[in-house]
This record gives sequence, structure tokens and C-alpha cells, in this order.
Amino acid sequence: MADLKIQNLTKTYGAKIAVNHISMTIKAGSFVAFLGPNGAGKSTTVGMVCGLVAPTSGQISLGNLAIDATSYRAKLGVVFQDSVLDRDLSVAANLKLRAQMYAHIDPAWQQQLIAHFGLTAFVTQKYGTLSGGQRRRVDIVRALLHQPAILILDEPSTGLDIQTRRIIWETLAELRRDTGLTVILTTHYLEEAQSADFVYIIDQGTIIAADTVANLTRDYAAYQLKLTPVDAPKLLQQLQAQGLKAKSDHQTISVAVPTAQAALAVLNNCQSLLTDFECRPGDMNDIFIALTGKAVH
Amino acid sequence: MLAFTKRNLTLYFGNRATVFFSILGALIAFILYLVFLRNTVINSIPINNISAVLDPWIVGGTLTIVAITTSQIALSQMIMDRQQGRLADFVMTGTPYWQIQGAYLMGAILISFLMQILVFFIMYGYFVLADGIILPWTLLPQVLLTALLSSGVWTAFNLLVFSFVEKTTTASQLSTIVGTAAGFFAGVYIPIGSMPAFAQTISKFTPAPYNSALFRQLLMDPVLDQKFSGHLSQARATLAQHLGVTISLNQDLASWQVVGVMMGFLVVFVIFALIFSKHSRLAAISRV
Repeated sequence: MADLKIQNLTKTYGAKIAVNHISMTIKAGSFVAFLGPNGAGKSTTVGMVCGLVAPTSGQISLGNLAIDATSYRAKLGVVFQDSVLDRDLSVAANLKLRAQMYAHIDPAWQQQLIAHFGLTAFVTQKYGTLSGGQRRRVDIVRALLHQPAILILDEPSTGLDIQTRRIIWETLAELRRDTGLTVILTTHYLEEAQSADFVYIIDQGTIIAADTVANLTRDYAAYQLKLTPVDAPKLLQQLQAQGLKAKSDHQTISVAVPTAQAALAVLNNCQSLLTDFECRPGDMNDIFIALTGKAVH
Repeated sequence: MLAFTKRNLTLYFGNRATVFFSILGALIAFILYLVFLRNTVINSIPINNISAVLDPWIVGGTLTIVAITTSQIALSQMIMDRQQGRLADFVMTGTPYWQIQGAYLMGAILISFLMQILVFFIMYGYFVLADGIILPWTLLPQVLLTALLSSGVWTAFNLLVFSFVEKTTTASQLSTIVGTAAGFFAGVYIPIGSMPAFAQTISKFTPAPYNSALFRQLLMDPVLDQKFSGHLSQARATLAQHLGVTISLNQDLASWQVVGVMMGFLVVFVIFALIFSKHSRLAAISRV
């Protein structure tokens, strides 16, 4: 299977630049995440990759297939940000209609998907009466009906509970293992990008960082320690002596450390100066602040 | 394409509220006529057993309104799909855009056709019971053909109107305007002969009066022939013009000429809709 190549992709709306000279190569079979705040240009990029938004300039190709080829579209499965199935039709009717609109669909594969994503129990129910999580699972099955090579998920888990997210991601992981499916995910949750092979952080239409989650977290989103001191000036002094950048706000002192071990060391060293502490792993917001100097907007 | 047409029909007929308000929207002209307007029209025409003339007259006008409004309601599914990004999903299946458009059109034509037939039977049912007129069974094939022609013309008209509409709210506001205007242009609320000359001219630039005339010629000619025989033919012609049974452009148009005018409108609407389809296609899918 071929790689998806994006070269110098740009989209402007009047004077506004939505996507600004983005280039990347997405390897077949990989799992890639586009991470960025709302309005960063993720959905516009996805729209262009799907051939639904005409780029102002730049090229997209999948192997030797150009973006305007019908066979290119057949390689893509898209889970749109908003549900696009008919609320007044049953799950089965919705899937049947989409299946009929494709040139040829393997019915066995369709049955397998329905079972795999646990739709069997509510397949005769109207789509509009399902819960958010059930609907999302149906959306994913719809996107996979024609056995695409690339699955694009545009903010798929906004508003979903943790259990549902976990089921979706476990099922997709299995599917990737079995079929070598390429997955492109846009999200503004770092946790969700956690299992991605590679992450592109996008802000204001540009890629501001591209790396693995492990490297990004190591470089930009260390552990965040929040310390409640007995004696604030003394604690600050001690932290600075250890070569750490500490920041004092109100009653607490914040300090970023690279690993969990380092956090434990800090706590041990300053134990006598603390009344309380809080430690959390860095998140999208921390990476973002580190990269852009501002919080997610 | 067939599957997609079937989907559009299922969505329309599956939604009881849509069907109910479609019928009500059409019958409202009929109800308004019975409650408010009938006496005014009767007083302006001094002939005996006027029901036999006026009942088919109101049927003809109302069917035109039905054709206009129901094809518009049916086509609004297209706007809904556009706005909610569903069209993008359909395009992703690789189904050519013209086939998707075609399916919306086929659905709208069928829905508008079926609703005309339904309203035809509801109204005749009422008149048979209330006024004792006779259902013109033998004319049924021609009624069906006329209904088909009018649903085609109005579906094309509404497609053209909707070429620039992206939001469902805009579509429903347009529906209100078109629906209200339809009652006048089709000559239902007042006979075309009672309109000022200017209004008559304006309405002749729309297919509505021709559409009504076609139905009315079909349904009223037998009655008029019977009532105005021999030396009364001049009176017949005057009344037919007043009621919009015949339409004149320089001279009175024969039925086949009215059909020709309708066909002409159809062609013009289709040509313009095609010209604008590039715009509507871009609007349709450039949102994700």
C-alpha cells in the first residue's frame, strides 16, 4: 500500500490563512494524530485530504493516485466531526444505503464490522435514538464499509465518556493490527494521541512540532509538580539550587520536572518544607504553552 | 441512485409531521376558499348550479399550489443534507454528483406527483359528498399526466430557487414566500380576471396560471360545454378567460399550446439550474 504525500498544502479564505504550507508524508499502516486547538486548521486539512475542500495551492497524492481520481476517494473512510447519518432511519437502513452507494461492498465484511463494533444489539433502532457513543461506533462502521486503506477521524470522541472512547480505540487498534489500516486522527486531547506513532502539532495553520508522543512529552510536557510550602522563599531557593525553574503563584509553587523519578527526588529533597503536593503528567496545554508561549485558545 | 431516491422518499413519508403539514399546507387554500372566498366568487358569476363549475375550478388551482409547495418541501431535504455536511459523505462514496442531484429531483417529482393525486381525491371526495358532483373517472389518465408535468416543472423551478440556498432557515423563509405567492399566481384566491391588468401580466411570466389552466380545461370543459351551448359560446369564452380556464397571449391558447408553454418553462428552469449547479456543487461540499 502507498504512502499519503502532502506537499506545500495551503488554503486561504479571503485574507485569512487557514492552512499554511503544510507538508508531510504519512506512511501506509501508521497511526498519525493532528493535535491542535479548535480553529488550528485541522479540519480544513482533513477536508482537503478528502478532496472536499479545494486547496489554494499544494499537492496531495496517494501513491500514483491524484486527489481527483474516484479511486483515490474509494481508499478513504471518513468519520466526520458531526454525525452525517440519517437520524430517522435505522442503523441497518443507514448502513445499507451507504453500502448501495458504493460500487461493491463485501457483505461478510459488513457483518464482521457490525459484530466487531458491537452494533448488533441496536442495529434495528433508529440512529437518532442512540446514545452519543453508540452513534460514534455506527459512524466508524460506516466509514469502514468499503474497506478503505486510510481511516480519517475528525475529532471523533468529543463529548464521549471514557469507557466508550476506550472501546473505540481498542477496536481500532485490533483492526489496524489485522488489516494494516492507516489512521489519521485530529484531536485536541493529548491522551487520545497517546497511542499514535507520530503527532503533528498544528497551530494557526502551521505545523509547529512533529514528533512521537514520547519525545514531545519529554521535550515539552514534563511532569508538573505543584507544591504547598511551609516556607515559600526557602523552598524557592532550594529548588533553584537544584537547577529547577520554579514559579510561585498564590499559595503554591509550580515546577516542571522531566520524569516521574525526578518528581520523586524533588519531593524527597524538600520533604521538610512541604505541607502538600500535587503531581500530574503534562498535557496538551503544557506542550502548547511550551511551544507557543500561550495556552490553548 | 435508486437506493438514494428510496431514502429520500422514506425520509419524507416516514416523517408524519412533514406529510401532515404538506397536506395541510395544500388544503389550506381549499379551506380558505370554502370559508372566506367562495361567496365572493359565486356573486361575481350569475349562473345556475354554480358548484358544478366552481368545484373543479378550485381543484385545478389547488393542485397547482400542491405541485409548487410539496416539491419544495421535498427538495428541502437537499438543503438539509448540504447544511449538515451529509452531502459531503454521499460524495465520498464515489457516486457522481449528478446522480445524487438526480435522485433528489426524482424524489421531489414523485412526492409532488403523489401529493397532487392524494389532494385530488380528498377534494373530489368532499365535493361529491357536499355538492353531489360526479368524479370524472374517465379524465383520470389525463389528470395523472398533467400532475406529472406540473411536478416536473415545479421541481425544476424549486431546484433553481434552491441553487443559492445553503441554510435550512433560508429555505423555509423562501417556502413561506413562494407558498403565499402561489395562491395568487395560480389564481386560487381570486380569479385571474379580477386581478389588475398588471398583476395578470406578471403572473403570466410564471408557469402557475398555465398550470391551473391546464387542470381547469381538463376538469371544467365538459361542464362549460354543457352549460354554454350554441349561441352562448361568446359568454363561455368570457367566463373561461375570467376564471383562468383559458389563458390568452395575444390569442386564447389551446391546451397543447399551454402544454408547450409549460415545457418551455421546464427547459428554461433546467438550463439555468445547470448553469448554477457548479456554484451549488461547490457550496455543497466545501464544508466538512
